[in-house]
Amino acid sequence: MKKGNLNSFELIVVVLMLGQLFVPATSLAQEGQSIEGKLVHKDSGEPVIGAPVQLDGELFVVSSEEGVFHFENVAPGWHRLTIDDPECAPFEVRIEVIAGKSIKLEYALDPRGKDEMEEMVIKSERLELEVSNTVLELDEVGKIPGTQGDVLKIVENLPGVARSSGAVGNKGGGMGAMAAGTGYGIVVRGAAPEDSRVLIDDHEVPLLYHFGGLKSVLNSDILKRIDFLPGGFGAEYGMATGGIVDVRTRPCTHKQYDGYLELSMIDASFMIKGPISEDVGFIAAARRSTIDLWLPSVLEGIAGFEMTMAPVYYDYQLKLDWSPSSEDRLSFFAFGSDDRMEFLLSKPPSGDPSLRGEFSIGQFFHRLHLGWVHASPLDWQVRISLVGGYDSSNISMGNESRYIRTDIPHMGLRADFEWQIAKRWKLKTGVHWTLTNYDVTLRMPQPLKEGEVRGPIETMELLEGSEEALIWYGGVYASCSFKPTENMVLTGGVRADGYYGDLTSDWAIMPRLSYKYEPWSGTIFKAGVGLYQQAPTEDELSKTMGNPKLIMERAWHYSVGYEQELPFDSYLDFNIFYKEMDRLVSTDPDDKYLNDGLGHALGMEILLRRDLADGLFGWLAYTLMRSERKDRFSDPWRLFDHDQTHILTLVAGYRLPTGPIMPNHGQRDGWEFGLRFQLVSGNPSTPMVGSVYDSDYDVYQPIAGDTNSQRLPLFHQLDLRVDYTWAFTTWALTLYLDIQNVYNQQNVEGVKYNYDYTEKSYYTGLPIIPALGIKGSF
Amino acid sequence: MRRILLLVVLCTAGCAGQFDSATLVERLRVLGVRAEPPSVSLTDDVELSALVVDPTGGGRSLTAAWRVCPIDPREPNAACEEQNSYPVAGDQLSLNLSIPELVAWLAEKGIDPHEIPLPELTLQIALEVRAGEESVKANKRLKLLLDEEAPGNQNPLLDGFLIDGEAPGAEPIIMTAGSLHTLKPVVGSGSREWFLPANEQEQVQEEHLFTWYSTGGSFLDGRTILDTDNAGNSLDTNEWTLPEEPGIYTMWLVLRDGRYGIDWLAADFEVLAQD
Repeated sequence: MKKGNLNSFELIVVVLMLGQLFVPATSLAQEGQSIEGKLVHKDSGEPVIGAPVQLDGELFVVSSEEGVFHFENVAPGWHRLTIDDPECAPFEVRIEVIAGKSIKLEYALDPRGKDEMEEMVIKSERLELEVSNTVLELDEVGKIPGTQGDVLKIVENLPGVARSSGAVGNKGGGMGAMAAGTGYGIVVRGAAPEDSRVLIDDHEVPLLYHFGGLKSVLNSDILKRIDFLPGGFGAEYGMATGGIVDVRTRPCTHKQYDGYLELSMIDASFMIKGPISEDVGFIAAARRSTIDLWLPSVLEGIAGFEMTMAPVYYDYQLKLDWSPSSEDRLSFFAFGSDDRMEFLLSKPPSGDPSLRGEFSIGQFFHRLHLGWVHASPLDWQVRISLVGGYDSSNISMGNESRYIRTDIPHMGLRADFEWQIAKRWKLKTGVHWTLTNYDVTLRMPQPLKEGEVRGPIETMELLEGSEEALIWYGGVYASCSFKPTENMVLTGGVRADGYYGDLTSDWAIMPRLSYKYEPWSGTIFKAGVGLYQQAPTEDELSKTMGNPKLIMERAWHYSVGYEQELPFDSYLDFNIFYKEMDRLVSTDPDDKYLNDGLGHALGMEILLRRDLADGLFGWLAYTLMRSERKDRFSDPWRLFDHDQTHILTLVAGYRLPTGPIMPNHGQRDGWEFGLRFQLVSGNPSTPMVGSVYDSDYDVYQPIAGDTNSQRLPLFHQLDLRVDYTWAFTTWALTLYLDIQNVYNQQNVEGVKYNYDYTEKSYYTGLPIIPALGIKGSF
Repeated sequence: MRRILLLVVLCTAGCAGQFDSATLVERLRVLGVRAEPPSVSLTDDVELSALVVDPTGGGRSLTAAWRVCPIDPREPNAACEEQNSYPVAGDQLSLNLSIPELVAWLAEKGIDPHEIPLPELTLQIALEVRAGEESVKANKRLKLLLDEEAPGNQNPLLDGFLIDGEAPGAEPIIMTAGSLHTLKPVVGSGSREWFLPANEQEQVQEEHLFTWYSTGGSFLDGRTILDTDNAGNSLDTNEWTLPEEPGIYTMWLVLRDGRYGIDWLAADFEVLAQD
């Protein structure tokens, strides 16, 4: 099994081996070659009695009344230890026995019903992680208020991530940009949304959220782990100058059926998982929005607006895993998403009278993954996956007077090889390849770039036509980790990425280096530097919409940091980062786009986190940051569109169980409370300082002041959530209330102007929104 | 949840109108700029005029500064800067532009229209109107016909309007405060021309767009078009709710043909208190 896929118990063992104290455990060298272990229940600390423990699938013992087990005369080398207690989640770990030494271990087992991969403990393998990496423990973060139980949205609450507010006001041009901007990305360490990648089981998806942020396109319950890498990541990740969200789905290794049905004011969903045979398991989930059932009535009576088709989204996931041997796992994973909305605007915005008529937004994608993982007992692992997909979007405005339709079939292959060459040396290498067929038909103005503002859409020159382009993307990487001592890891890697298509091609080699040092238990110093490059987007490379001669955008990442374990199951993670960006795509009057843009971002991140213990978890994340851009060398520096000087997020959850754990589903009676508070600097804004009347179109062309020279007011919001679960013998019922914007703060999200730009006011965000939901699980 | 609702809320907020409608004229404004003809040969002259309204100015004098700029095709909406423009002699709201003199100036700037291998060249006309300390700016485009065979455009003709289906009588037209009336433009015959768009094979007919303004009351729509919907209903009519306050009000109706052609009319209304 790959190191990065360790379950919580394996991680505990890693912790033990590192001599850490996060979970009560010790690792003592003794005379002889034996393994002695003690098993306790994680929740109660009581010994696990009579648990079957196997070594290498052969030697078999049962834990004593003290929860203790022994294996004597164990041969030196690596061994596989498995525990399959009926009351606890299955557990498997690999242990190295050194000649002449014995190991003494203590394991804290989860109650049965939680997936073995679910309880990822963030601290356990910190020395092995990237310089900047936050791993989300899915069980604890699933009920953070304001996220509707969506764990992918939790990423937005981590350090280095700007608060997203959508494209509003004159930034990107109101409706047009809002429509075109549906969907993708987070703003990480001052990078544009399109600079970061979201990977699902190693392959990119075109869309992270339904309707640009409503909910993520993957059901949280099929996810196993999310690695958030805001910068300075290793050579295995390519085509990103921002950050990486690396999402892993659950393996289907279940021994019993379980699942749930859920209904809320946002959507209705189900999930079921279980075994098909001894070696084959499955997970199936699907979801449909329920907003369309109530939103039209809320919006009824608004003059000039008619919701002809309320927002509807679907998504589905089906995964099958087959483990033909203990070393191999084959997987089949199909998933997809579909978003649609239509409305009629009879009274257009004041500054853009042509924005009227029917508007529609439709976007879908489908993916099929085939994967194979082989973990050799000789300390190497290979992971190969093949993916095929189809992405499509259709956006039209003003009775089809402006539209853009894209169809993108594609296929890709990725192979990764990981080898523990020796105790202190580890090698990772891999290749990936993607073939994309980009088919676009449009009648639309050129999309605005970051920092630009526009006037009325009616006066903008239309790009019109259709185009089909075949683009190959490929990459190869190798990295090597060296541990000169047990408490130090030095990782060096190099990566080459490139793309090739009609009239367009470029490639780059990128070195990356990181260093982590644990001078004493619980304290880690870290540093990293690397070069990151990414291909321009398909529309930027398009003959119709862009410039095929563009080359890859580039960013150097530098970071230093410090991690410190603290009392009460908490720890501190502190990072300082700097990014130097060049060759950024910026608009040009002759060539539409050129690689003339420059940028830099400097910041500091603090994460003070308490892991789930005694029912309480949470974190305080603070980011101090400044991100600037200029569109060409001769321009002055200006603020980046999403520059937010201060980003403070407080997240807390508390569980108050009132009953025993029910063995069938692992749940118990009780309350859960969640809180999220955000305090964030307002986004930069470009003031409009005048206008000129365009007599031919009867609109006013705004005269913009200095780009992003003003800032919107401070944002602050409190969200709360409360759950109560009734745990019956065979199933459990949970009722929850998720309240966004509890004190109904009128947060400013953008600026709007009157028809001739002589008056302005603010767009404000959503008012208080209580959402009620019910979930039955078995 | 956040962004989709935000999208809807922002959209509707934009439509709901926290601001006064553009149809309500309360200060110095330019409502239209006309070139007669809107496309002109290199040897003719053009009559420039502007519909400038100053309802609260108390009859103060208005002065106009006219300039002409070549349009940079890379930045078609760029401002017409004074240092790179041709100043038109005179400060009236209506004056004559000599195209031969303009062509000579363009040639001096390295843009000789005679040498350009295109059927037409589009120029920008910039107008700045001053009234005391106030000033407003406006632009319009003018087409120079470089090919003598190229068909030119004509300004549309707005003959008048109907109120509740009938032609109004002598001005001021007397109406009742707060009353609702249907207004329908009357377009001159032959006004809506057929033309061959660039890169097209078949001729199409101009789209006539009407824009409505007044010093009081409110219109159902700021714009209407000379067309019918699928059910055959006319889309050029508008509804005007007269102000509650008695007094003299002015209504302006501007017609555009989508090819830089324009015409307008104005009418005064005396609004009387309800009985």
